Amino acid sequence: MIACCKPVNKLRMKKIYVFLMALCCFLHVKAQQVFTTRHGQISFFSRTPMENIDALNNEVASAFNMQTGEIGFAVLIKSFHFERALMEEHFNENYMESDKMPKAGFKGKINNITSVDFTKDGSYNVTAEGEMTIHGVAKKIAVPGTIIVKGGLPQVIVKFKLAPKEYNIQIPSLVADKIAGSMNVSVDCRYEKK
Amino acid sequence: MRKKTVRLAIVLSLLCIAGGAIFVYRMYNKPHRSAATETVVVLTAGQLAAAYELDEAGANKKYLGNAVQVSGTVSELSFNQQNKQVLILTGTGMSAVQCSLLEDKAGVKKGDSVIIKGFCSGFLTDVIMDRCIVAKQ
Repeated sequence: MIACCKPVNKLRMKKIYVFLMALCCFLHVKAQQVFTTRHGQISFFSRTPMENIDALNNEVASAFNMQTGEIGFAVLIKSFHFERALMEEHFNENYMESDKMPKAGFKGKINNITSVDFTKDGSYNVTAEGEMTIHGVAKKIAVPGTIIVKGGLPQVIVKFKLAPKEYNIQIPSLVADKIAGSMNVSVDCRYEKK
Repeated sequence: MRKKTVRLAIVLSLLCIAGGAIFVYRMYNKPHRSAATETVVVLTAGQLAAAYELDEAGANKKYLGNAVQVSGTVSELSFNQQNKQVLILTGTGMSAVQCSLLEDKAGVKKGDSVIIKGFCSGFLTDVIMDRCIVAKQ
């Protein structure tokens, strides 16, 4: 009797073992921490002697994997708000054509993610590489940025220049002296644990 | 006779220039759109989220950039980085409706049924509405 039960027990043990292994794998995936935000900030400004233009977007969605360094941003063009309603209208209708192309985004990777210690408060310089899509045009870019860790949560700050021309955004010569050929873009995302 | 015509022409052209200048000035300073005064499309948060899940391009044609009034249940409250209140309304099982309010604090709590008026900016993982006001709590 006992002898015939033994192999069954062994099988059961094996099953439990497999289950535990699977659970460990699952927990490991869970432990691969992803930080997200639904309301990050992206702003840009254009300075010319004729006119200054500022725009701010408070609804940036972003996800960021602290282990692999993968990072993505998605924005809606219509969420960019300007001081003047007329600028906002021109931005949407004439330049970004937001009815046709309502989104822009970036998907890429932080190269030196291992240099960031998420358990220690501090400021870490990083570089990110990836693909930026604006106005339906995708371009490979590389930008330097800063990750500020505070209380285990990261904040990502990136500042870079962007030329509308490169993304096939036409600015008529009539207003060329009011809109800079190169915009200063700032990204500021404070993440939460997913 | 000739003098009179010349004078009239000068007065008329000055009026035209003044009119044009006033028009340009008013265009330049025109106020932002407000969901409070625009005619709105009325639907529930569930209907709006479902419309975007099913056919994003089609939903954009109907709602993108338009004033929309949604009714729904507040499932999450937070603040954005400008310290303005953001409400998440329960949509479908997959996606929700995110409303960024103009106000700093909405005076609503989790689980409340609300009616929100705002402008639809499009769809990320949720439907995004901004410049929102609470029409009814």
